[in-house]
Amino acid sequence: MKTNSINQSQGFFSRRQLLQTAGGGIGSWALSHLFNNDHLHAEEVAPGPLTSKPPHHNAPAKSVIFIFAYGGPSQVDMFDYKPALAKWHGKSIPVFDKSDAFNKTTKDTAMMSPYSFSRHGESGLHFSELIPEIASCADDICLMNSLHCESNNHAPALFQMNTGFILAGRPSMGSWISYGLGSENASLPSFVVMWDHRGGPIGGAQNWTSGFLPAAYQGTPLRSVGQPIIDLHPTKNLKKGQQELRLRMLQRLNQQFVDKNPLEQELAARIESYELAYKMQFAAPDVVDLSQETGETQDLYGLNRPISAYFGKQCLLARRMVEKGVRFVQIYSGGADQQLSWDAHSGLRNNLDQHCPEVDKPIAGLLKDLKRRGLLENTLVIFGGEFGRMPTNQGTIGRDHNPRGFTMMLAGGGVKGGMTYGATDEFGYAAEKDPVSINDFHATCLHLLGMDHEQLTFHHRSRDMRLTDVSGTVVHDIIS
Amino acid sequence: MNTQLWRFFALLGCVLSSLSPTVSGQQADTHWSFKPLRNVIVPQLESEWPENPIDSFILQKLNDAQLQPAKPATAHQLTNRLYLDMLGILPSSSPLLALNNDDSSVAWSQQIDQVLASPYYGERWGRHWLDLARYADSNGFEFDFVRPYAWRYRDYVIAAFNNDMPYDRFIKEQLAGDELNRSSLQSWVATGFCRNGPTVGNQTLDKNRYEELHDVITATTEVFLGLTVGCARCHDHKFDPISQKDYYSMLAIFHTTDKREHFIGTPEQRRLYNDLRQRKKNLGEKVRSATSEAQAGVWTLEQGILSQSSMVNNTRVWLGDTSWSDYIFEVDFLRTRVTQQPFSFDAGVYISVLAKDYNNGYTLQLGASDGREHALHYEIDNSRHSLRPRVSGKLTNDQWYRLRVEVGDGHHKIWLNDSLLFEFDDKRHQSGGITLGNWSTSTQWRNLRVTNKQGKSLLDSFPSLQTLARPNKADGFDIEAIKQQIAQIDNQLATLPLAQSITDTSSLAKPTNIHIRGEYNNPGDSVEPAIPAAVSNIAVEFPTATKDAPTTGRRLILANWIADKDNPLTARVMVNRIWQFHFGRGLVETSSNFGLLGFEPTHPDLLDWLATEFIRSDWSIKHIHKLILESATYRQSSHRTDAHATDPDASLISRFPMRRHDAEVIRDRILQASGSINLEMGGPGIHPYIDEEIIGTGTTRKWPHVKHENTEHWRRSVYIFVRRSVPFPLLEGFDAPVTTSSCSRRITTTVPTQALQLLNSQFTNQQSLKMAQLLIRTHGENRQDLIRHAYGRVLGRRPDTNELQLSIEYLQDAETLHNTTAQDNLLYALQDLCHVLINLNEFVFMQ
Repeated sequence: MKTNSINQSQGFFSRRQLLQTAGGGIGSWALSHLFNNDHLHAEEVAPGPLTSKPPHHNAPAKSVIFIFAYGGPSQVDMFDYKPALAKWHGKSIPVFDKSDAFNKTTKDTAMMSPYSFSRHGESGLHFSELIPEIASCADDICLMNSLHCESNNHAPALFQMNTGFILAGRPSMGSWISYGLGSENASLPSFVVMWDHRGGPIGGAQNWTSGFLPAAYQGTPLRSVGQPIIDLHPTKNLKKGQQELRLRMLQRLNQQFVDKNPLEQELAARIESYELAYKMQFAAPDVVDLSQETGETQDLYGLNRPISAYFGKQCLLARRMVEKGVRFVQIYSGGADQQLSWDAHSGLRNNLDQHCPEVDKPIAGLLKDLKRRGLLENTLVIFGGEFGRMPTNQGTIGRDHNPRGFTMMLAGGGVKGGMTYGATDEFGYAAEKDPVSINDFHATCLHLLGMDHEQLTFHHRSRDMRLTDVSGTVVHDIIS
Repeated sequence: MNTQLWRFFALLGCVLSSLSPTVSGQQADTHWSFKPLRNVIVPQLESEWPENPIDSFILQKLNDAQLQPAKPATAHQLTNRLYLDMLGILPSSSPLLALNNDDSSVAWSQQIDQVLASPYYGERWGRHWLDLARYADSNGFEFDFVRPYAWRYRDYVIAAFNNDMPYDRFIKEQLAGDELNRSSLQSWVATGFCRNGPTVGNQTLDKNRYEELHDVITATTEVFLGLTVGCARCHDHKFDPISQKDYYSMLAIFHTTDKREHFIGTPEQRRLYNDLRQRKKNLGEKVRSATSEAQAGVWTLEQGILSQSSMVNNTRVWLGDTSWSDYIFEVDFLRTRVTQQPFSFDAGVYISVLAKDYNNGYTLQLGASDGREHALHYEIDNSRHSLRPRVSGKLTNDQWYRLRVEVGDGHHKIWLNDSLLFEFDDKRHQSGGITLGNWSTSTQWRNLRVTNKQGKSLLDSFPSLQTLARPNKADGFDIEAIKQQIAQIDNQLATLPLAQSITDTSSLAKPTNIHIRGEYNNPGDSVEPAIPAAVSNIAVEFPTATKDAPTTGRRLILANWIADKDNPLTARVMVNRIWQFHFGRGLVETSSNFGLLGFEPTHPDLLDWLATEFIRSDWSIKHIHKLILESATYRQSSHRTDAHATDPDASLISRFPMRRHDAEVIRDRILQASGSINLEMGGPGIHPYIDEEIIGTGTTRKWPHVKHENTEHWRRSVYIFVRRSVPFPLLEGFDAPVTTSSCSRRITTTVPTQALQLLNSQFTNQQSLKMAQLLIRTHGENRQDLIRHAYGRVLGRRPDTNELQLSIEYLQDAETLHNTTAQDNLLYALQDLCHVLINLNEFVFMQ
């Protein structure tokens, strides 16, 4: 109800409208104008930073759900089946290079996966026993097995996966995509971030910063318990219409200030942020209201089991948000550090036995639910971390960070299902066949969303900046 | 990648991976910031504009770019700018607040003198330093323990700025106050700089130690020298002439230090200190026992069967006595997840047989982790001995298991779900009881029975569950009351004269080695203390301290070198910071990176001129302020026009850059406009209201519950307790820095969540009401007067005719809407107007 009463494509009210009536008495601002935008014609609405923009080329994907397994999930125990490791178990592998490892206790001896792999779906993709539910979606999944990144340390690798650069401060992928396409829903942030209940990823907000892009493209953290956003609701004793009256006066005075300082972009951005904030008050509670979902749907996401309930709820929220036009949703699985994240330096099995069941059912549920609603074609779902893990052992049973070769799981958004792309060497150590750099990966994601990564630029410090810097090749083979 | 882009990286830190060629020594020799300060000549220009040499340097660059300086800002803009930049609030006697401001009555130079003499200056500019010093009142990480004496460092910094402590002394005290003056509490407090960083938890002690050393080396070099030495921990610096050896030579300087809560006070204070500590310990013990008892309360015993009605945290139940022998116990348990923290025996579920304290006996850990992958882990006498054969398989979460242990005749059998897992002989443990427990809310127990061989329940014989659960049971008392007593003791303790400081443990220096790849347990060649060779042309020696010396003296040698007027970096770095906090960006934009990856100065001559002035004035920070504030450059209008197209980011200072206020200024100004502000200075941190939902994360309560804020909460934001795990939402929302490392320049974001905070928070609604009440109380009910004064209090200016008219109509509309009594209608309408005003762009932006 609430979302319907607010025009999705327009702000709290347009600046043009304000200008036209400036000088007229406040009395002319009947309350009904606030919600009734029908009289506004399209040309009256000044485009804001989040106005929906056409893509460079036609493409099916409209939204992205990026499930970030923070800490570095182990590709050789989940996706990238390497029978050779059993043969080499306990023996030094020739490809090992000590300088790739993050930790000194990492050995050069192969450690076979303690988990068994089997083929799934008509496509016969390999998945380990850790993720049987995801495996049941094999024919919708593309396993990109040949990613590689440039740092073996969490923070730089996280920054690279999110922003293309190993140092903090560049705009994140979600910001670039919001900048390129705008938002389909002016009442919700275009870029939403949800954290693990154990804490956020290292580097915090630097992972969803808009960098040098306008601040309007920054990720907005959304909580999945309690009030979804701090101070979302007006204080209880406010009268009906009181907030609207305040806001109209506020925006009117703010606009006068902007008129005096038309070149200060931050001032206009702040007006925009109030319009968005106002509408979020109605849209956010609506989108997080999972009681609107059937029991069957909730079970599909694993909400009925304690192990997967928290993450399942976030996945379900993600679907509800992309359904309502949110452009980019990022969910972090794993928080804080060490075993609380996917960082299985020791106790590999404990780590994966904990984290995989948390996400398996929810991710599978998400894919199935998107598919049956016809949303999968328009939604690119990504699952993976900042790097992978070594096929050799660290300590007794642990794996170190591996930037040289790891897997990203893609589904939907025009990605071919039931395929693998690229390959690591026989040990799962380094990307060997069709290696995919982070720039390539980002270029491909942008392409799936209808954007040319070389054309999506922002002029900053005398240069046209890109998410992909100066390289990046679209992996066309995975596009259906 | 081009150079420009590499420069960009430098803004935010150093590059860790091998992306680029190493810079040759040649470049390092000629890098501008490593060369001595130059004797620059002030440009002589044919212009009336310059007020002092700063303007000449600025104008020269503007001329080169064919730009004109902007017109001067209006008098009220300037006064606002001056107060908010320098004090972060308007002084209570402000002509703006009183609204009888005569623009020309107070000369600019007089206003400058006023702000520089104001005690609120230290609160504003000290806050900038606290960003750099990564100041916080707690350790960080999971437990995030409080640092009760940290606030003294905050107050030290505020006082240092207020007293215009010469910067060279400020450096020396923070790095080596304990060596400089051993009898001064302040001097010890200053060394808090060296331990403000987060304290790493849950790693081996050595590793923690090297993390802390890394923190202090990184902070010291970034803050005082503008060098990113931290990168050299694992390898030679890729860009700057800092070798790994340089890093460890620096580490050698700090290696012998340790943390110390140093007491300098009267014997009475010492006695009070000891007494309070003892009382706190006793009360803590009482709470612990009572808490355990309360947790035991979820156990029920019916007909010899013991069960938990719900999961509880950290239970430990001890059953049985020495008379028990030849018995069987059985229990069902369910585990929801594998717990890993915080203990190493992280099964989450354990049973100790024959051991009250699990030191003597054997312990069975169910679903043990830590690299041991089997359902049961056996540990005898608190040392790890895995049973052979190991049991394969693992526990499934959320599933009930039945465990059965048969104890008798020195032979023990362990069953899980009716299959015999293993049996073993253990003659030492055949009589006694059982402890079972869990460390988190991950486990539930039920259907626990203990029977003898004849099937008779042994649990029936216990008189009550209370004694069963807790042998040394506590008297009944109110736990909350005791917790409050403890909190009061903490408050008292925090005010005692203790310094959160560091000092050397001995005059004998700890040997230091290079650590290969930066790994704490991988020592390489030994190193001696030294300062980074390439940066300095000053010879520095680190003589061995005499045996009777209290410290190694190494930090003081380092501090003296940094604070040497011939150090090419120190003065440049600091004047650049002062410039940055005035103008929003430094002459060197990368204000903590003057290395090869840093930006070059936009105005190198001006930078060197200011640095020379700084040293010449005996390192007076206020002298630099004065020069800047007196300049025509500072007094330019912030109004941006098309003429500024070639200086879009105002790096040439062709206008005063407009920017959003810091979080603290926004909060403090709201409190001031409403009349609520409490300007009491100093003392332990305050805890204003935070939404319960935000506090409710984490394992222990980390912020007190505040029902209603009052004047004790309405102090300036610099006094808000900095709990690393519970950042204060309004400040965090408006980009206050995270305190994990030194923050040289805050990012400014504009997001709808900030709008929600100012629109909807209890704080802004309450303060706008208080402002309305104050206005009506002071100025009566004349709408025009009320509006004028509201504008004065919030924006520091009068409303223009248009604004006045709009506001009058607005009050009418709002009064109609409220529709209660005439008096209340006005009050609430005025509250609405005040609420609007504190949300305005004009209010949150510095012009």
